[in-house]
Amino acid sequence: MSYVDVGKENSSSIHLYYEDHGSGSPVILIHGYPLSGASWEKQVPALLAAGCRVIAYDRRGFGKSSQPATGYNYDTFADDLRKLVTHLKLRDFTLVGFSMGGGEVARYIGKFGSKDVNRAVIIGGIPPICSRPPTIPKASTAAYSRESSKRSPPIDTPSSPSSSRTSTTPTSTSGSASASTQFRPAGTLPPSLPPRPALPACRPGTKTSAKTWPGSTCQRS
Amino acid sequence: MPTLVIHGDSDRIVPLSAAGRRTAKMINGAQLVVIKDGPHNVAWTHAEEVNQALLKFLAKPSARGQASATKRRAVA
Repeated sequence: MSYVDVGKENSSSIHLYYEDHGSGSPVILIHGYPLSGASWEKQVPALLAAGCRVIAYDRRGFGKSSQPATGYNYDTFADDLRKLVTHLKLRDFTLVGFSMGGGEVARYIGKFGSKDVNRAVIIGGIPPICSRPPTIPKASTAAYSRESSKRSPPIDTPSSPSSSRTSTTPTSTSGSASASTQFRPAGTLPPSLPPRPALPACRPGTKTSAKTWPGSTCQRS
Repeated sequence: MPTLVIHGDSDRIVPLSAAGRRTAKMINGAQLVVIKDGPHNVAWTHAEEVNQALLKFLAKPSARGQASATKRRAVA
């Protein structure tokens, strides 16, 4: 049973379960929702037979990994993956993501660059549907401010002493994520992060212009 | 970076036209493999086809891999 620590939540460490088999060129398998690394059981033997080193891990909240209350966003998922890669001292690896895991492939490369990544594979992946919109229209920000001022005070504001709770998430301990990307309990979004605009409807056969999301993760990578 | 996009053409959860096809278009030089009659989790339902595409893609030498292998040999 192998685990890598990716952060702390109060008194507990947040650890990710991973399996690391074979030797050769490393291939990291990133599972979909709501599965675990075990979902790759039809790929692992084929990859091992082909002489690859195969690493399959369970995302936070999934499989045998910790289930912290925070960090369910792609910046943190990418940070978690980075910690696994660093822990195993991997270089020149291939990232393979299925469905939700395709998002990690895109965000990892978007956030950390492609220096150590040899190849990328996205199977039935969600990119570019869940990409981060580059700009938020001012009208939407103003509307959010108006709405949020009507609400009761948030439980956890940036200035409140309890905000130190959020600093225990891996996102912030990595020091590379902005405050706007931190996870917060529902209803406590900081004023700088208005709700994202509605995504275009996805129906089979519907063609959606790539221009809809000009700054998508995929384009950045 | 060499990128392979594999997607089922009968994916009703993440439709090919909304995701896989767009992803392949947005990434320079990406290769798209469409699995005929493939649902969302083609890695499970069409494992043989997916594995074949995956291994073929991994067998191709990547410019970066070759460069670092050469560099490692040079250092050794």
